[in-house]
Amino acid sequence: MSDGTRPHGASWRRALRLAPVRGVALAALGAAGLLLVLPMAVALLSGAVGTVLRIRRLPVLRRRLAASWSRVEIPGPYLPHSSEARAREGGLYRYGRRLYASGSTARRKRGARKISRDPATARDLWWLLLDPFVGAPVAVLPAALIGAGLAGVASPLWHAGPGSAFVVGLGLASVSTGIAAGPSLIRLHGYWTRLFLRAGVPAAGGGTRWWLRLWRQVQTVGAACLLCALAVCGLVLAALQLIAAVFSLVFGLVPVLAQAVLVSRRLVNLWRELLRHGGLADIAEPYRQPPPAPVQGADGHYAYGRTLHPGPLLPSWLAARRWVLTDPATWRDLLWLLTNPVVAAVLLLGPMASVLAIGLWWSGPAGFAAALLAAGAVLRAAPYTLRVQARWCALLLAPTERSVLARRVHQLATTRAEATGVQAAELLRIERDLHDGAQTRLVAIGMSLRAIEKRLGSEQPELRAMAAEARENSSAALRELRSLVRGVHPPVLAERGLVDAVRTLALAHPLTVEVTADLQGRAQMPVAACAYFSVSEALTNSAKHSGAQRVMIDLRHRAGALRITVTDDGRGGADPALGSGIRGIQRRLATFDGLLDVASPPGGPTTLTMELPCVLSSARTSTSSGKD
Amino acid sequence: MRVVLGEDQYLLRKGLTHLLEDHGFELAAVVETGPDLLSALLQHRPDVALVDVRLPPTFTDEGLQAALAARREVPGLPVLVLSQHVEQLYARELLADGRGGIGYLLKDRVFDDDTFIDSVRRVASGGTAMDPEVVSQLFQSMGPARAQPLAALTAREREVLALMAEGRSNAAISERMSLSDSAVSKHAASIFAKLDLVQSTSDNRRVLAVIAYLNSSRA
Repeated sequence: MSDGTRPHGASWRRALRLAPVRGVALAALGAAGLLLVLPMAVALLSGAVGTVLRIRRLPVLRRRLAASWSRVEIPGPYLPHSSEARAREGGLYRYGRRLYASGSTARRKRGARKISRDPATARDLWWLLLDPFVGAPVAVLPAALIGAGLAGVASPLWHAGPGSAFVVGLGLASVSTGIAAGPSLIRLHGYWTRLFLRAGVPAAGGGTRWWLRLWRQVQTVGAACLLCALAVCGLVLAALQLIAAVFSLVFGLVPVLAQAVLVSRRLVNLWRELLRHGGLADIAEPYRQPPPAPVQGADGHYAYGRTLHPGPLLPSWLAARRWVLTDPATWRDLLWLLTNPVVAAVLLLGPMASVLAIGLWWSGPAGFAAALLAAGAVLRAAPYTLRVQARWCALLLAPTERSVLARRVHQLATTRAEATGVQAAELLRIERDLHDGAQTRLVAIGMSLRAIEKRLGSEQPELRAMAAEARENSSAALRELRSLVRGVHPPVLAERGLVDAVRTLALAHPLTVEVTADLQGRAQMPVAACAYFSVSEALTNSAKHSGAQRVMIDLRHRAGALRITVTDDGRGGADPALGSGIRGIQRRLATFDGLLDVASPPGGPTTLTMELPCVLSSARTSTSSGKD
Repeated sequence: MRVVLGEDQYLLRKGLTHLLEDHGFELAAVVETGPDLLSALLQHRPDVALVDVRLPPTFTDEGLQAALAARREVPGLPVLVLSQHVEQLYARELLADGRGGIGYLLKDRVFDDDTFIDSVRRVASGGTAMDPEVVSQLFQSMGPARAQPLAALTAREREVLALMAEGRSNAAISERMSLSDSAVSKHAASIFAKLDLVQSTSDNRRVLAVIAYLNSSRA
């Protein structure tokens, strides 16, 4: 603490003289502050920024007084509260998720939130509340001592007696104590003020004052009590979970288990948050992602496992129950909920109870001293026991290495699926845009040019030749666009889906290609495009390397995967390590977690089996088998 | 001659309307969606329908499906299908009923309006108009077994065969190749002999026979 040096001379005498007056003034200000607590709380809750700022003048004044009277500098702790509101497009102003027509409303709301979140506001409020009871008596003490002393000195005037000399002596002592101690007490009040009104929490360690340390230890004991209460709540929730498990698994009330688990997860999360907030342990959430909503199949039913359900509700309940049951975090949470009260009782409640026990059972001053000693020890040890408790919590509540990996994998899979989905959608959009835009315009241009040629008739042969050349160019542009579109996203795939697109491939292929298919519904576009290009590559391979006459392609959907086999009657001996075509197919499939199996014994036949996990949707069916 | 036009793109709708009216066609209905097209075809029973493959609301092959559905209701209803791309699969589906009165052309073909109008009239009279692109795809996808007899054809004969597959009559072929009618007939006879096909008198059946030959190549 840098309180400045001890003042000397005139200023010291002035401080001595003024201390009692200053003390009374500080106490009066403290009492006035008490009157402002309620208005400030109301203003904070109703967002009246102006009122809060006006009330704030009192703590600001007290800070200034602490600097000039007590020589205790208190740095200004407030966050800047002005924030300009910039108009978004459309001339509206944003606050949170709402838009406001006037900038001042948005600004006021933002200001109100900022001011209510400013830790200095909370400190002001607490200080206004506590100062009249703690700070004011200290400040008023010099004046009180002097006043009481003067009353003692003057008492013989009204009531003379044998003890009046003693009373006068005591009075003189009181007055001189009041005068002498005045500056120190005002200074002490300054420290008290700084304890609350300074910015930020002072760093823990040897540098802090003993009363601050004591205060923190008391706080810690309070936190421990809160945690013990929460632990008991957790015990109740654990029991609820077990009961819900019985109802869900035995009596068929499927959804209750997941609900009970989710409720207790909120409590466990609250605990995690408290530990993080208290700087005790930073524990991440270990839970797996909830299951996706059930998808309606092509036949209108919702599948869960191998059972079909008419509605989405029961499968979603079943999936949620399986989700909570198979997540190891559920079981670790439960174990923690059951054991935590015991640990909390031993570590946190036990020491406090022992203090009480000593105080109650060991009567007399010795017992009191022992209880005091024990209380001191408990206070001293409280931060450490809390830390031990937190470490134990982290042991069960933190995600295991496996669940961290599982979450990571899930996140990567989701982002990759999004990326490929976006890409496929983009390609489809390009195909549509070309079809409806550039290609259409080129045809229209060609028609107009032809009309111009007609109008010109036999006149101006050069112009006619130019128009004809331009028409030929737009024809060439259309041809180029057609071949470009086929490489990007074949139109027949967009128009007919995978099976007919593969049939088109078969028709265009010089070998005899038979296509059989059994797909109840359509594969999503990204998967369909991947399958199409993979089959195309497989056919090219067969034509190039195998010397085959016939190729059989079979498409079907089994167990959540699209399974395509391409078999040719060629000479076999295809080596995945050598064939760049096969590696290309592998790479294509890998993007969608697909697999390629190559069976190609020397002498043939060669069978490529591709498997792509996917869900079929939409009612449009394509079931047939035939020779193409 | 009454026409139903199914095309969702404004520019092409306008261009085709002008083109057809300039050549003395009467537009019975101009529609933009698949369902509208089907009902217009069944209601007006036009002499010929011009149909875009891809139409709203699904922007898949609505137009093609509407044309096929109308032909199931009204067998032999002449339909000329237009598209930005041609697919053998669609050509086969259109030709599957073997009744003729089918055209399948790229939209670029409207540039050459005389040939295009000629194709429209041919389809209207029960003939066939296949896009040269479809025919060349057929030639390209020939399997080695059936490509051998084709290899025995002279270059000229192959050219005649391709034009026959497009659905052109002898007269049209002779005009196109600057040959006499009798020369084309001689070429045709030679082709049919080399491919071991029975010479048919009707142009339409000839087309179907040729296309069937090219298609069956893989059997």
